[in-house]
Amino acid sequence: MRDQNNEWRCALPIGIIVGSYLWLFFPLPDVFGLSLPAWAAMVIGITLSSLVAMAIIGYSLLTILSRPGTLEALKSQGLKVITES
Amino acid sequence: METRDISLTAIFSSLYAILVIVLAPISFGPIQLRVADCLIPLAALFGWPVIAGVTLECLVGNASRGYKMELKSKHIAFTSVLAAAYAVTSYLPISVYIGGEALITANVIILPLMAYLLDAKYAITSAFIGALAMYFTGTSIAPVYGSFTLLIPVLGVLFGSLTKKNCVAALPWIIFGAISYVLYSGGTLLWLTLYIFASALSLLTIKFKQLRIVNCCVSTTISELIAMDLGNIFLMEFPGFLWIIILPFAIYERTVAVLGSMALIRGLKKYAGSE
Repeated sequence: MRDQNNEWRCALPIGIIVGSYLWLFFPLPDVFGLSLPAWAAMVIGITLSSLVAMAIIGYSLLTILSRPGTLEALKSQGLKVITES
Repeated sequence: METRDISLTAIFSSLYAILVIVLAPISFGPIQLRVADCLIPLAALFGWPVIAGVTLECLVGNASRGYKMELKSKHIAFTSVLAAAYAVTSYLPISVYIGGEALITANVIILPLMAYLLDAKYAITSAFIGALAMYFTGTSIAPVYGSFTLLIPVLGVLFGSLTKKNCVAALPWIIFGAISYVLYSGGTLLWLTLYIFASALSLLTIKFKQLRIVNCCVSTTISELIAMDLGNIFLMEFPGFLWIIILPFAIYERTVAVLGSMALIRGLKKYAGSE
């Protein structure tokens, strides 16, 4: 099974890259009264949302598709899937 | 890249675009949850096709920023009527399909109409429903492309519809198609005249706004053609010499699609009293 910690490593670059420019296009909404710099708030926000999308939804999807039965079905269709073993 | 990799890339591209566009209200803005990003971890399982598909469609998805989900009865009505029209016209042949037992049918005229009349998300839905009907009834191009048939009209209307907001929105797809054709088809470079025409028209529309209807129609039909070309290259594995033979047929079909859809759009606009 793939390591869920890897999703952190994917979410962080997305958060840093997208968050570093997104604040130029959108005004920062007041959330919880936090007084962070706009860019920092965006980086944190995008990182967290990417984490939800990838570590929760994406990881669940990956787990379902990584089941032996599903993998066999995919392989039987001639698809190349990357397995750890 | 193998045939199945290309198909997977197309599938993940479409999935990403659909998730971004349908969930547009939460996919954009300072606080966002881009559910489509859930496809990214699948790169661990499928590899490069996911990376290529998600990268390509992230560009398209971002280009579609600004669409809002607002379901109205007229949207549902137009979506259903155009899907039905697409399915019905798939029984009316306008040309032969050279290279397999299939026909090019009059639904190529309906596709630009969908792209022009509907927002991207409704156009995609309408095209997908129409394509499902075509797939299950085995009409038009379904006998040769199989399940890939479902993607062809969807990609056509997606890029065509996006040109209404950004007249060059189809350019990345056209360039991708041209590169794939040059690298893998082994066919005549004359085929690229269709791509070049569509690209030039997109660029001209930046300056001449009155071309936006024809640009939408041309972008839709050429985007559909590119999807078919990818199918011809990677699924049907067309021999190089065949492309020069089918070129006049392709020009004829696409001309019929553009002229037919423009006539319908003009007629509808006149009927609706906007002209």
